[in-house]
Amino acid sequence: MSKITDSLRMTVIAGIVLTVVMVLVAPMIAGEPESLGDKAREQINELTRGE
Amino acid sequence: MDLDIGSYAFYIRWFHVLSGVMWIGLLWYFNFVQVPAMPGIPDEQKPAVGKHIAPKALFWFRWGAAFTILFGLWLAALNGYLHEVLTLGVGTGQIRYTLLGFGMWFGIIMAFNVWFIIWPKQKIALGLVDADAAEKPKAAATAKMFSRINTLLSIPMFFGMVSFQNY
Repeated sequence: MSKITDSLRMTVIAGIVLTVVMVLVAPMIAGEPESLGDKAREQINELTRGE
Repeated sequence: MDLDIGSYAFYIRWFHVLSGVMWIGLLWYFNFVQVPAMPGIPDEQKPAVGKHIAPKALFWFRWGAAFTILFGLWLAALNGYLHEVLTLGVGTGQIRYTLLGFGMWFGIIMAFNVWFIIWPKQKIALGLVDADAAEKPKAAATAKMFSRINTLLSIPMFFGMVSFQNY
């Protein structure tokens, strides 16, 4: 039976921690998603401009 | 059968995944099997690994890395999101671009490590190029450290790749 070494275990744990950090910071980097409502309002404004 | 742009991208994705499995499969073989097994192998048997198995594994490992990056960038360009993901989806409001971007950058860093650090150091450590005897253990330690860094990065890298398909 092969046993995982301590350094390899630490590598895997660090990889999982980095994954969690990545998931937590991703929404901050991507910014607020544009809602469909906002998009529709924008298009209506554009179409009715000047009326 | 029509070969439209959609199915063209499908085949590029297929080659991307095939190359990626070759690359990361061997990376994990080195880290989870070969390196931990070496101390338990009798000295007279070590050359079987160092002279015969490792050079062949390293050949498929480094070319797997190169083709994974090539097909991955090609695929992103074909799908029209290469710029968005390489800029980490900043301000796009689409987390999947950010996560895939992280995955792609981790993959690019890992491939750089393979070609410009691990492979040159392994050539010294395995005696495939002329070098001082004192240099060999140092080169082996550097190659091992960067191989470990790549194993670490492979975990979030895969998360980024898989998350894009599941959004």
